Amino acid sequence: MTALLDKLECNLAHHPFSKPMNFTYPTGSTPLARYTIRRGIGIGGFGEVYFAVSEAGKEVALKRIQRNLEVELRGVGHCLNLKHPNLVSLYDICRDDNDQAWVVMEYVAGQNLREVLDLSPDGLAESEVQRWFAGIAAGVDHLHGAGLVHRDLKPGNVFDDLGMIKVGDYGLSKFISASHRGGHTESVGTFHYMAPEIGRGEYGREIDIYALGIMLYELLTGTVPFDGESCQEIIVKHMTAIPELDGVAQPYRSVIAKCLEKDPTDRFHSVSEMTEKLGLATSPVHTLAPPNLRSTRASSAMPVPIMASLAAPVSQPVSPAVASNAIEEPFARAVCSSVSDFKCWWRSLDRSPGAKMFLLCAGLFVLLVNTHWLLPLLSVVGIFYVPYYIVRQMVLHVSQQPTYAQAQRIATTSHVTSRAMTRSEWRNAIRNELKAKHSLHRAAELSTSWITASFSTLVLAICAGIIGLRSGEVDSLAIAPYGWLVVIVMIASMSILGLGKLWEPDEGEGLPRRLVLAGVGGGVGLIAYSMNQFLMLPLDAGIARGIDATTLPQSLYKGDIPRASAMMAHFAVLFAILRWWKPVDPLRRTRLSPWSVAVAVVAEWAVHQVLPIPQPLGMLAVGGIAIAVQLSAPWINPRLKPAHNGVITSTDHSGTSRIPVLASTSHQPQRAGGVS
Amino acid sequence: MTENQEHSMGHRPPTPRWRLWVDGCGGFLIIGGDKWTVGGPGASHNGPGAKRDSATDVSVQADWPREAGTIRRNSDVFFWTPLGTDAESHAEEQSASRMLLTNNQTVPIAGSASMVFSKPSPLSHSAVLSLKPPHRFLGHVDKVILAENTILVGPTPDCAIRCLELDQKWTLVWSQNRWMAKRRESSEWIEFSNGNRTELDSVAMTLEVACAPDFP
Repeated sequence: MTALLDKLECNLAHHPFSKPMNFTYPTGSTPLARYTIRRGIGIGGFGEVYFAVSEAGKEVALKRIQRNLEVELRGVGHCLNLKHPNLVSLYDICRDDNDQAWVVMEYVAGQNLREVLDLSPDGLAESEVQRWFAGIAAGVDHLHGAGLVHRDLKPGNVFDDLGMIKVGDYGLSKFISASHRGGHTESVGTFHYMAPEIGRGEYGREIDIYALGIMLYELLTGTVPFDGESCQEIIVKHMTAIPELDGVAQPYRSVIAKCLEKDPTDRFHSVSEMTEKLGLATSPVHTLAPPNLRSTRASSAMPVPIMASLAAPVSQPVSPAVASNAIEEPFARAVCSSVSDFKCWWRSLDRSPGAKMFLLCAGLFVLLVNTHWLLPLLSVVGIFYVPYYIVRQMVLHVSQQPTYAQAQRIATTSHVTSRAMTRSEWRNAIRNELKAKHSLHRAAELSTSWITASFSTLVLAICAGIIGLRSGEVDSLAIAPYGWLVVIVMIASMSILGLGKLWEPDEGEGLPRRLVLAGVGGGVGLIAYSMNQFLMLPLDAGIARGIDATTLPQSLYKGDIPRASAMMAHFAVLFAILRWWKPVDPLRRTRLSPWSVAVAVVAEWAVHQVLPIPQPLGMLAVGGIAIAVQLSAPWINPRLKPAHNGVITSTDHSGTSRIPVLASTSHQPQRAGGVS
Repeated sequence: MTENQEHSMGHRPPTPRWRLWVDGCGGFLIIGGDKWTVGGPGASHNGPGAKRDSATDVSVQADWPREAGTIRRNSDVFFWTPLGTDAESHAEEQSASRMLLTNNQTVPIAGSASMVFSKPSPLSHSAVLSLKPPHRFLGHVDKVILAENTILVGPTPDCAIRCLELDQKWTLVWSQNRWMAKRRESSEWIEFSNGNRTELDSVAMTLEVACAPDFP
């Protein structure tokens, strides 16, 4: 059974999803006086759809408009008087006693194309492809002829109404206006069927042609031409990838290729032009029989999936450079590229290993000799780069938000996976959810983390104070180091939490992150030095090293006393060598890992051997930072089971431990410890 | 007076019937008993105050005779007996015209509609009747379940009520004059009551009594 507005999907892997459907009205309800609801049909982006029967026995679908009321009602209003056998009929718009708007429309009893395709993973037989596509094309052509664009064409919106193909859910339709083809702010459609120009706010009839091309490919092959692990990946493929059509027979191949042109002006200008190339008629298709074929090609007597050879998912050639360019920060990319070039040059260098070693040592020596000006220079670069990076990330995120990410949230609102996921699948799913998170929500989480970090730091400092000051006189000199500790841990934790929040949407690359962290570390070192001076703490306390074989660079040290640059260099190195984004990643294995605290302290000890700073304050500070950030950063516990159908199972039949699956990707991740 | 004569005169005891409306899945007419008449729309099927959708147990909006024949269950096998051989003929004739119904077989009724009989699970004696497009059952249901004591509900093809939204199979059991549902490997029973919404996993469904004395 199916519905007019059945499933909004971002069905990334094309697995049959199930979803929890919590309908407002139970069987027997009569929100509209003349109609009795029998059951819920589906829940879509705009509201609930019910199967209802009128007093006289007429079967209808009632669509309760809950969201985007004006958009939906405007669209439906435009379509109320459309009459076409391949379009789901809209009867009326009614309001109930609570002034709630309902759309009364034709009840479609058959399956939708999504369900049909899910049952035919290799694609449909050619006769069925033609039957479905001719019906869809005829309906869409009529819409275009009436000056409307569907804008949400996808298999879930096409129905086999007891033999008649019908296009439904054209409530999102919008009049084509030559002067106003863009500017609409609603995010519509489903990623697999979204034309690239939708990202630019262009909603011409070409987006329907594009979606028709995708659907034709899917009818033939059972897969979509552009698929991916994440919405971003799919979108990038829509914008950059060339569809793999080698296994598609003519004339379908050339038609699909033209439909999927990136430039809308290169596509077919009308549906009839497209169907003409296919040899299909766009006149209404009334019968159960295959459509009228103009082509002289002989159709097979046996319904054989003509694209069975393409059953396996097709990987799409995406230019890695183009794909990564859209995401990476340009300076980081330049540095990576330079490093890569250097590696290539190094490998291609026609020198003996000894000569190479000599060159390497010479290079390192030159760097070491010049540390007195290189480190401050790098610190200054870091000071400018870090704010730039943060602002860039925020601006980029905000600019992406209204188009695809929110649409993703709507699209995945009602989906439940019906099987346990592997850990990597679960991580990908949650990572996608994190990508779709709104900036405001992200900012709220960050402020909560900062507050938690402040409290955690204070508690840690009090604990350290109780232990450290349990004997001896308690005066300002004795308390001052703990004050220093609080300030440094707090500032460092907040910085790391902020960066972690920016970086949580993806796994990211290590080098740019380490560079940014080095800059932050330099800043923390400068503050540490300033606080040391302000509190008049001795800079030579515990400065002795375990491995005291090297002389200290006098550009950083005055004798054994560290200068500001030494503190900056120390913290910069410390921040760069550790992957601080891991302890603040919501997908880390445990909320607080003693192992990562121990690693941080050992790293501090190692850096201290090269660039000493007062101890044990340094180690206490680093240990405190490692604890505070973990306690404060959001954490999604993979073992937690939501109360209502949120998680399907934690063990599969083979007994292998599986990761539970969140019921709805729109739900906020389950967090332990109350950090939201 | 024969059983069929009783039926034609309206004296046949009413067959217990329920309608199960499953959100996101469909509407199902569940009919108890071991013998069901099948036919086209009766005169009173939509009339005001009509308590039954038709004079027959299974009514189809099609160009079928008012009573096209009878489906009988004998243990776990089902037989189709066309009209004319059932009411007036002798036992030998009935036996000769009787036809065994097998899984996914179209019930041989002359007319435009094609009704398919299926018995999805060998573990349950319940069977399912469905119609090929463009025909519909009366009563706005999508399928008819010829119910025995148990009905399988779930996402797999062996379920009489196939609902892809469910995560696992449930067994509907008729016991002590009520329908109850139980998940496999669970001892917890969920009881259905007339007209009240019940949730299995996250799928809501409502069981309505069409004709079943003593159902709560």
